[in-house]
Parts: sequence; C-alpha cells; structure tokens
Amino acid sequence: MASPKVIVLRTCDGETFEVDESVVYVSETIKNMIEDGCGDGVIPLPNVSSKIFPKVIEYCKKHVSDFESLKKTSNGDEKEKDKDDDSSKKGKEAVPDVEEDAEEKARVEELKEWETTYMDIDQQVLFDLLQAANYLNIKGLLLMAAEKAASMIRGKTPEQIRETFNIKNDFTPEEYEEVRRENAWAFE
Amino acid sequence: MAGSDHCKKSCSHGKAALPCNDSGGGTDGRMIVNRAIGEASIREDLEALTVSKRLVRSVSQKLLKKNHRRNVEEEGNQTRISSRCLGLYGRGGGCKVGADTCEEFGDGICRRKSSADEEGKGHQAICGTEDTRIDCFSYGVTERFWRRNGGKERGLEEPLSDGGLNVLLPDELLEMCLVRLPLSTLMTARLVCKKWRSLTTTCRFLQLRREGLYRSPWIFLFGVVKDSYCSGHIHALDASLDQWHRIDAHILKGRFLFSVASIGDDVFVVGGCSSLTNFGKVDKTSFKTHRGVIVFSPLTRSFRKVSPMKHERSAPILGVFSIGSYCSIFRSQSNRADGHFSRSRVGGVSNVYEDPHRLSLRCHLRGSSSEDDALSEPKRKPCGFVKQESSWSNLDEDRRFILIAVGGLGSWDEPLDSGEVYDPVSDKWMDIPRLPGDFGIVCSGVVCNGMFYVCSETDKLAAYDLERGIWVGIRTTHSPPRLHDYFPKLISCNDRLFMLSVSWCEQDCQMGSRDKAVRKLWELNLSLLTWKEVSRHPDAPMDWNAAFVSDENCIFGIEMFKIFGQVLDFLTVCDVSGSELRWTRISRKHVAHELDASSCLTKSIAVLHL
Repeated sequence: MASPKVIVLRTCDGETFEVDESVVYVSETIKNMIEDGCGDGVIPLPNVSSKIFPKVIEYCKKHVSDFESLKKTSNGDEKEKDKDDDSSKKGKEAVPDVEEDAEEKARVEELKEWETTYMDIDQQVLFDLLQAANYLNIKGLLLMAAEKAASMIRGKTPEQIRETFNIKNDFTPEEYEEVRRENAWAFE
Repeated sequence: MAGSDHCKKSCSHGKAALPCNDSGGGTDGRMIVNRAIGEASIREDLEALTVSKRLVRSVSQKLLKKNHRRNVEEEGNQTRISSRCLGLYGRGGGCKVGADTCEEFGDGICRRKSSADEEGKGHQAICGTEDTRIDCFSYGVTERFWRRNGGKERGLEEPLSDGGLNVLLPDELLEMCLVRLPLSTLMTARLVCKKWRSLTTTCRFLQLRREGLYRSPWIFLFGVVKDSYCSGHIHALDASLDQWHRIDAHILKGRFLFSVASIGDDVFVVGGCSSLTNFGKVDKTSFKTHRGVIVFSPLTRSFRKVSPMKHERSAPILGVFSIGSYCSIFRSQSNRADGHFSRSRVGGVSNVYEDPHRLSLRCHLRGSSSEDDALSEPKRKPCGFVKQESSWSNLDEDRRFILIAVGGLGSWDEPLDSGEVYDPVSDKWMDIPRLPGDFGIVCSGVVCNGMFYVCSETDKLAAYDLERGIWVGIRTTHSPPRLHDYFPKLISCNDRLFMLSVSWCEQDCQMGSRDKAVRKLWELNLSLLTWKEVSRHPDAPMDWNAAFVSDENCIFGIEMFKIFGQVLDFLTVCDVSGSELRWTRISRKHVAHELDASSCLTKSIAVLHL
C-alpha cells in the first residue's frame, strides 16, 4: 500500500485544507478528480465554502473505514465488512458470524449515536451540508441530510413549515382552498 | 469532467498569492487575473473590518431581497453583471468572484454547480437580464452572481428575507427531502407554497417516491355502521404516524356487505346489498343486491364507477392476480358455456381442458374477437396496450392486475358458486367456470402464485388457475381442525399460502386449559400440501368475522367486538418474513367506540401503500 497521501484542497473562499487521500476519497467528485490526475496540485472546490468543508470532512473521516475496507476487500484482503468472504475462507459458519454480528451491532449503534450528534445542526448548516454533499457526491451524507430535512418538516402545519424554512406563502386564498380540498382528508 | 478542467487551469496559473479558482467556462486569463487582484485587495480591506462586514451584508441582503421578488425591482440601484462577463460564470455554475468573496459575509455560501442548474431553469441569464450594469463593487457583484431568475437565493439570517429552503436549495435537493415524507406530511407540504406543490405532484416525483420505498401501509376500514346507519365512512389508519383519518364516501352510503380489494393505488368496492325499505340501515328484510363496482382512489380522494359484475353478489370472495402483460388469460366470450367442460373433481388435480379458441389478452383488449388471430399467434408476445385510464399510469407497463370475484350471496340470499374476472384496463367482466360441484360454500379466497385458492365452509380447498381457466381441487394431508363458528381465512404473502383458523388450544397451551380457543396461523407447504402451524394470535378470538389482509410481508388483522357495552377494535400485524412470526398491535387509538356493534358484521379492510 502506498504511504498515506495528503491532498490539498481549496474551498471557494480561498482557504486551503490538507486532508488524507483516504478521507477525501469518500467524495466521489474529489475521487474522480484525483483519478484524473489532479491529486498532485491543489484541488479547487468552487462550490464549497471553508465553513462547511470541515463538517464534511468530519463525516468523511468517520466513514473512511467503510471505504478502506471496501477498497481492501477488492484487493482480496479479509475485512470485517466482507463477512461472506470471511466465513467461506474460514470454513466455519456459526461462531465467526455471531462474533462479527455482535461487533457489527455495536458498531451500528455507535454510528447511530454519532450521527445524532453530528446532525444536531441548524437549518442553515443543514442546507450548506446538503449542497456540499451533493456537489462532492457523498451519497451517505446526502441521504442523512435529506432525512434530517424531512424530519424537520414532519408533524408541522404549513405555517410552521413556512416559518422554519422562511418560505413565503404565494397561494392566493382561492388557490389555497383548492389545494386544501385536494389534500384535505389527511387533516381530519 | 469539469473538475479536471478546473484543476488544470489552476495548476497552470499556480499563483500562490492569488486564488485561482476557475469556473467552468472561464478561459479569459486576463479577466481572471484582474479579478483575482481585485478580490485580494477587497478581501484584505473587508477582513479587517468586522463591522463593515455586517453593513456590507445588510446592504447586500436588502438588494438580494429586492431582486428575489421575481422580476420586480423596487429600487433603481440594481446591479448586475453585464453579459460580457457571462463567459466566466456561465452555465449557471460556480461563480468565481462570488465564491471568493462569500467569506466576507460569513455566509460561506456556495453556488452548487449541478445539472439542475444547467437545465435551463431560466437562471442561466444571471447576467442576461434586461437591466444589466457593471458594478465595480465585488460584494454587489457577488450577490448577483448567485441570483437565479427564479429568485432562488440563500436564506439569510434576516427574517424579512424571502429566502429559505425554497430559494436556497435547487429543485433536485428539495425533491430529495420531500420524497421521503409520509403521505400526510406530503399533503401538508403541498400547502406550503406553489413550488412545493408543483414539485410534489409531478409523475416523476410520485414515481421516485414509489421506487424509493418511501411509502408506508395504510389500512382502510370499510363498512362501518354508525347510529345504525351505513354512513359510507371509510376510516383510514396511517400506520407510520398512527393517525386515523375519516373519509366521507357518500357513494357508499347505505351499502353493506360489499367486499373490498386493493389493486395498485386503489381500492375496489364490489357488490354488496342495500336495504330497500329502510335505506341506510343494515336491514335484510327487503333488500337489493348490487352488481356495481366502485373504485376508490385515496390519493385523489375520488370515487368512480366501473363496469358492474355480471351477477349480483353480496360479500363475494375477491382475489387480485398480478400478471405479466403477455399472459394469455382471457378466454373467448363465445365459448363461455358455464362450466360444463371444466368441472374438476375434488381430491386431485383434474384434467386440463384447454379451450381451443382461447384468445390472447391482447386480442380481447382490442375488442376484436378474431379467432384467426388467436390461432395464428399461439405464442405469447409482450403487448403494448393503451391504458384507458390515467389512474393506471402508476402501474408498470408489463404488470397488470386482474380482479376475481367468486361466490357470495345472490339476490335471494342464495349462496353462489359462480365466478367472474375483471380486467381494469379493458373494464370488462368475464365469467369463469363454476366452482366444483361438491366444493360447498366458499368462505375465503386469496391469490397465490397465479392461482386463486379458495376454501369452503366444509374445509375443502380448491384453486382457480387463471391462465388455464380451470378449477383444480387441492387435497391436503389434513385441514387444520377448527371451531365451527369460525370460518377459516386464507391469506397469501409473497407466494406463501397461510390460513387463519380458530381452534381449541391443545396441551401445549400456556393455560393448560383445553377450553381456550385460539386463533392459529397455518402455512401450507405448496409442494407437499401439508399444513404447519406457524404462529398463534395473542388475542382471544372474540370476533368471528375478523378481517385479515396481507400486504407484501405482513398480515394485517382487525378484530372488532362489543364488550362491556363498548365496541372495541384491535389491529394487529404479523411479519411473516422473519424466522419468528409474532403478532404486534398496531394502533392504540380506537376508532370503533363511535361505531355500532353491527359494524363487526359488516366491516372489511384493505391495505394500500401510500
């Protein structure tokens, strides 16, 4: 394996960040750029600000192990993720699976907790995160942020939603009535 | 990829002192350098002055706000970049200047470069509007660059701003957030603003929602009686949010003992009776039996009538086949001599009698009864049929549903042994052969693996093979023993066949008492034809007309009964995909307390994914 390479990235406001290659590889966009040969210079990220970038990197660091293991398994090494491979190689089904299951469960629990803390952010940061994750093509982060946004909408009345997200009601009273009638039975 | 272009350019410029972020379209080196220098100086100035940052921000916010109102400019001092700058910031993508100076405002805003932007949402002409003027001040420039014609902007902290989610996020991302909402929330979201409404009602959006498995089960309770009146109300339980909703269905007023089946996103209400002398009441002293079929579409909250059945039936046994479009299942109508050629002997698989004039479904749909076509095209071919109704556009092209209705009670309350099938696309009912002679009165049925299994009140089992158009008798090793008052219910989940039947508890029962009745879930091994007990329902079987319906991996059940002067309802669900089949209660909220006890007799349920 190559020694850990450090990639330099520059956000839209001119700040540069030095991050391990394995960490930035979580972003498909950056990964493609590196594979296209830009990894030696500074990679520009014109659509990501230095404010949100650290938050994104935090996610990448947490999830780099997933990608590491995926990379390595493709090279034929045994990794905890590739359970089937393990079982068949070891030839035992029961014990390794149970052990790995417990490990896996604990890992999943811990990840959930981390996610809850990570996602305890305000609306502004959430939007930045959504856009950054979209631009950088980090699927897991994008889904997490979308789910958080959805959870902020759930259970609210239209007025509350408008307040939360600073949206103007552009329906005329007649239009509003019409929409209300179409969707009304959900409110009874 | 654009990314690599950026990279190469910045590498080639390599000015450490000056930021050198290129946007996609920029090729003018001179412009870049000029801009870079300008930015550097401005940044230096502004960085030093935090107060002025805020001032700058508030000024730009005000300008933002004004520009946000679509094409309405209240102040004359609008500033926009002239079109000759367009090249640098083109394609609606990342704007270098804007990006560089966004830090000054502490906003960290970045335009997202995406295909959504480029899709001609009308904002490519950030620079292309009528009133473009060059503004020397980068901060002003910044804000303009971000502007999209749709008025989409960053919601800034100032509460007066019209920004927010709407303008901040491109449609794609907004869609992504809205698509995962449960139906009730989605309906609420449609009321927020026009954009949200339009985004969430496109076919594409609904398709995304369906495919992304963001829908959840809704249980619809039909046939309730309130104040001794068949009010036609439908009670819908949103299982995911545990909320009951009540839907008015005037078209169903007075009708009782109909059967329901869910097909796609709709519920079919088939047959039933209504009282002639005492309309609205559950009164069978003088009544009329219906042939009519009503389709309820919860998503549009609409009801419509489709072709009525050929025979009047109350409480028919319904089943829904899901077939590929190339299946030839319909027989020629001219050969519809009721059952004389296809009676099957119970107790074994009967002979297959094939109709030589069998028409393919395609021919039937075309309305032509050209038998020559059929003979010359014996092979099945995928057919592209025209969907007659837009409500069926939610179904896959090659996935079709066929509704089957068998048995029930006729106009004189006589048990029927006839059956018919319905094709929603052609809106036609067609007779099928009668039930085998010694079968008995059919009490339950379900489709499993292309066969409509039915069981009779005398515990006989048979199945209708849709493709071959015949009934086959099914002999199992032994039918589960049961109490006579409780008829067995057949259920099917993912090509597995189950039966719910109430029997006495055996020795292994917890109470140790044989007098306890328990509802057991049995599964039929379809190859060996043996029944095996797989689960026991935790509730005592108080309701002999408990309704059960399956939905993918789950069996939903509702029991309703009157106890201590009160009508109670209990909803339970069992997930059959696990290794352990356990029943759990769904909703603690009771809806039956306002209903009459006779609802227990008349109720039926259907489950939809909405």
